[in-house]
Amino acid sequence: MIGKKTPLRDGLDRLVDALVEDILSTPDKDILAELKECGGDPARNAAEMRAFFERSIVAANKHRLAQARAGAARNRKRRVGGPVDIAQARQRLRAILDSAGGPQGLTLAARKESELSDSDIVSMLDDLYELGAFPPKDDEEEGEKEN
Amino acid sequence: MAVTAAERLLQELGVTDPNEIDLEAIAYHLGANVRYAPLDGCEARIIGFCGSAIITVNANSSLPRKRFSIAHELGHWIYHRGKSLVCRVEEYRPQGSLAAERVADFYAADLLMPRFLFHPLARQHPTLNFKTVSSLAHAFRTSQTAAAIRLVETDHSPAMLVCHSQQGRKWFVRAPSVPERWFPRDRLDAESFAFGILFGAGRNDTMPRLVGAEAWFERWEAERFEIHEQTIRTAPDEVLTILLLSAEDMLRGE
Repeated sequence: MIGKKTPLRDGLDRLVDALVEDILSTPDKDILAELKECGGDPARNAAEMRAFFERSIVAANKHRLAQARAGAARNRKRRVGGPVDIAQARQRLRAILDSAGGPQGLTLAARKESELSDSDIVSMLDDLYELGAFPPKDDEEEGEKEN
Repeated sequence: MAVTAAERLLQELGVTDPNEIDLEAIAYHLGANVRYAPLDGCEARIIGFCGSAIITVNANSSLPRKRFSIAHELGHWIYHRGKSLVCRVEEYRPQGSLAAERVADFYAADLLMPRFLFHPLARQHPTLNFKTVSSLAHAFRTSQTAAAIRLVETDHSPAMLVCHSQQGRKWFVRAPSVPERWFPRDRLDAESFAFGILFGAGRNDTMPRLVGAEAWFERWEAERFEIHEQTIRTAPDEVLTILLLSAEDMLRGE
């Protein structure tokens, strides 16, 4: 409980602690016997609690799915590319694919460079830039100018 | 049977209905974004770097095909991270694929048709036929072929699924309850109904039909049995056949 501390609240907290302590220190069979005495059904009670926990877990997991849906919706965007030198782009991609595994940490499942169309080549290079596998295009161009 | 990685993931996301299998959201949860673009060289690809990935799917493909492609690429993301593969995403095929592709295919099948959702729905259909297949394909937004393979593999009935082109048998899958000695012919027999559909103007079978087992199996004992056959055309040069084996002696081990 969150709230302002008062003598009354302190007293209630101590009472709750004592009750919890009492329950935890009571043997299981005594608790079951007590429940039966009160007309309860331990098996039914356990099944209800299990179902309650399962529903709570599923609800929490569905919240995770809802968050993922919202994230995926935010990330939907169309890419607008500028003019590209295709020969250079092909050479660039071939160099990446031919080097042993490309940049470290790269995962790739795609066709061979020779089987890819020009637009596939350009979009693959865009993906690599977007993922940070290369320095941003501007930095690279400036580096080339300096050289 | 143990829960697979794909099924565990769906449970972690609280998926309790086939409609909730939102592949873009699942991809996002795994650090991958899905894009749709016209692809000339393949159905889909994945490029990942460190913990992030971009999956690009051919925008011109059908919905079931797109879903299968996303799920397949997620299989690569889970099992082949840090590797470069020459990938050829085909429709879910039980045989003839390279090892990495098969791993990705199996992951895709589990993600699209998890057994904890597929079995209860499949059990609502007492008969294995293409009507049942269509109903499940619709529920799980997969192709008929993918749903049919799943049904046969899960041993809904003692059955086989066989795919033929005019060049011969492309692949087949056998239910676990069907003994391995039953191996379908490579070339379609003229006695089979599938022959008329593939080579003639035959229309899709609306229900399974009784046929002599020797039309489908070269084995000596086949002439003693009858089986049920139902065939549909899946492409201009491709038919898919469900064979139902009900004779007890056929299902008995050697």
